[in-house]
Amino acid sequence: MKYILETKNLVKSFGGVHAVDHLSINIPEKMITGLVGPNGSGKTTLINMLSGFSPHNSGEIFFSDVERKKIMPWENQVYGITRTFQQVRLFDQMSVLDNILVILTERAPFYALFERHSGYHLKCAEDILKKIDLYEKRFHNAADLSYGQRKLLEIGRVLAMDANIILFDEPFAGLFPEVIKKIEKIVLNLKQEGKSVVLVEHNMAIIRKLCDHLIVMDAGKLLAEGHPEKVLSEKIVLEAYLGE
Amino acid sequence: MEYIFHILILLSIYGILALAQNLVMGGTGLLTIAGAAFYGIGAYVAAILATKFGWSIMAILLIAPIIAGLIAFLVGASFARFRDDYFMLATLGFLMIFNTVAKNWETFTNGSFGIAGIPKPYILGFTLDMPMTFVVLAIFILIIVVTVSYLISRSSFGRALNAIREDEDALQIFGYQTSRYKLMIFTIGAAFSALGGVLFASYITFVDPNLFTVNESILLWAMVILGGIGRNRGALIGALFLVIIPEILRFIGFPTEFAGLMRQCIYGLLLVLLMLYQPRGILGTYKL
Amino acid sequence: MEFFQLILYTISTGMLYSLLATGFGFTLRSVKFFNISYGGAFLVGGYVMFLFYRMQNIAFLPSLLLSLTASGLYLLLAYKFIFKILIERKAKNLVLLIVSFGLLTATSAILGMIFGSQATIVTRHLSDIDVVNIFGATLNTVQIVGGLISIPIIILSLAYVRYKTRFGRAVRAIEDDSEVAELVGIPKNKILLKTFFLSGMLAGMGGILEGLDVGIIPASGFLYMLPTIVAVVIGGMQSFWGGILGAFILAIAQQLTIVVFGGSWVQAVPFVILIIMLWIRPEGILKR
Repeated sequence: MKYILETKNLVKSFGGVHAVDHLSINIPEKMITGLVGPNGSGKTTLINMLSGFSPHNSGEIFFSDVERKKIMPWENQVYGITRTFQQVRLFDQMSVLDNILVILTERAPFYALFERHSGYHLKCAEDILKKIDLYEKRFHNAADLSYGQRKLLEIGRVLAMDANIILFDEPFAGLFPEVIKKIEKIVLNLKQEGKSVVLVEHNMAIIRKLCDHLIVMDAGKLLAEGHPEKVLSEKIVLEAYLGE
Repeated sequence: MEYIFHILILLSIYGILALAQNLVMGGTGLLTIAGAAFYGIGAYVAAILATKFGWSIMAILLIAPIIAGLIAFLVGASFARFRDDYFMLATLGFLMIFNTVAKNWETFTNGSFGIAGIPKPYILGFTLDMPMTFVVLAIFILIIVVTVSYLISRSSFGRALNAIREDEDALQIFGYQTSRYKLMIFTIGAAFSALGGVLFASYITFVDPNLFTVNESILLWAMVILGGIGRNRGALIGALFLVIIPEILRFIGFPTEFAGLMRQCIYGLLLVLLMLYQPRGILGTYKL
Repeated sequence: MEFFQLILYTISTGMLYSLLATGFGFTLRSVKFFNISYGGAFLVGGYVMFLFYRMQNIAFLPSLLLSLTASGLYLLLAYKFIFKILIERKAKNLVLLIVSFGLLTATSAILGMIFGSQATIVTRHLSDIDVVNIFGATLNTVQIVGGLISIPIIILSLAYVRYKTRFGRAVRAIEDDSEVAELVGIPKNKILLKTFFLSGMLAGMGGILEGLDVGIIPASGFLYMLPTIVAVVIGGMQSFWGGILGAFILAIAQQLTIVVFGGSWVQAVPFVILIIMLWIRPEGILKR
């Protein structure tokens, strides 16, 4: 198995408490990796560090064997990584279409100043919006969407980003079954396109269905790692969940 | 008739200033109180270059935005790490430092006495010394600023600025180095404000440090918020209202100084009431 | 003895800044935004004192109590009818900042309309601010009685209230985490109203001293906000004593500037220090 993302002895502490405690994990390439663990086990903190959202205190992060030392969030594009947020963070007072377009257009400010989104950008954005069933809502403000639509729009942004590694932080939480199905399809599609996906999720049925690899965390530490069925039958994993 | 042109000139100048303020504060959500400082820098550059070095106002209209932009670039770059309240405090610091320099660097600024006798623009053999002729130049510059502001708002750059206002951290995740965007719009805004400053200095023919105080910046805030933040048209509407109000008060018969204080009272209260009851302003699109 | 004179001036300025910074710190820590309308309470204190003590010829102590109550009420009402509503709406700090600027602007304009823009001296006779000789150096009576004697007493009693009384414990709990404080049964709203009242009284005290000493102008409210904010930021806004430390650092820096560069540069000093401080240690010198 080839690994696209690795951490070695990664540590993040908040006021003396280790939220992530000397964590060494490997994310395999072109697969869906599940990331599970009880609440407060450090999953979101890990996602935050991997996406440069908050710096790590010590340890190392490797992207395809290249170490990323001080992570600047905007370098995510260079490293080909993107993410969604557990608490949806959209550009609320912008239209649904603009929420996608802003991800598609030029990043360098000077060029962006002389760029207006082209027909190509527009077509890409509209294709994505059709995929997530928000095409009809494209001129509405993101703030006016329902909770499920907001979750979908975040996923639309990730699709627009076209990154190699995608970190989903609880994309299914609180959604209706039909929306869950839709997102499952999108995630599987991403895998087929050769993307590597990390999926934070509580629902074991979804994990079993989607994931090729599973990482279980508890109290900031690695509890178990491997094939989902095998990992989920391990005794320590069961205990961690029953003990919750 | 003369009076109407006078109003139109004031409107153009404040329109320019409000548009500049809106790009930074409304479009990007970057609360700056240095608006009056760059306005003042434009005015002082005009005053100094014209009276001490004999430059023509037309040449100054080209050079002043560059000077103000350069200063804004350096200031903005050193403030890049400050967010929200702290950025506002830092820009407040810059405004006070500008004010102190204007009051004290007497060789160039004549200190508190200010600089008088700033010439009117001279172009193609005409001197624009009447409001009727000056207004043409003022509106011409306003149109340039309006056009550029609209181009910016509609560019990819403008969209990214809006996204910074909405959620800067989230935008960074998607590969935007937001500090560069903020620095660039801060610089552009300063350059526009300087244009307003040059027009003002040349029209009034006099500058002194008391024209460019915190109150002037707060007036610009009120214009932007009253019209509706993030909208170029909103800035123009806000400028219209707040330029007309003291004229109406004077027309009713209040003495000039009192009318000035009443306007100050009005825009102060406007800020409070708008934020409480109508944070989206007249146009009602965005709120901070 | 010139050096001793400088020390006396520094102490007297430092004391006034300490008073203001202490009051400002109370609201800053509990509601977590820079409440610029604090300067409004400063003005209300000074002008109401002028109204009662000088214009109505009411005796000193009753006038003092009335003006302190007025300035306390000013901030209390500002909190109750403006800030509380915005905070409950989860308004961004930028919105609160804009509103508090608006409130100060309107207040100083209204007071300007009533009392005029000239310096308003609260003292009845010039002989009331006699100069007193202390070992060859001089200070006037207001600076001695107000600055050197009453302010230390006020600050020490505030420290007692803060660290030894139930009210003080409640205030500190709200500063730590207002939601948790509410959960453990602290009447947050009542405590905050009291905090704002107290904070307004301290600002008013500053205004009264300033009015007695050199006179007060409508712009003073803003002018004194500047050193206040800067003192709190450099001293460390999480700490009660930080504001006082910052106040004296600022007073010393200003006095040094006067000696080296001359008096007119003093206004820029706080901001140069502020910007440097935001650069190297934004959390201030003292932590809690």
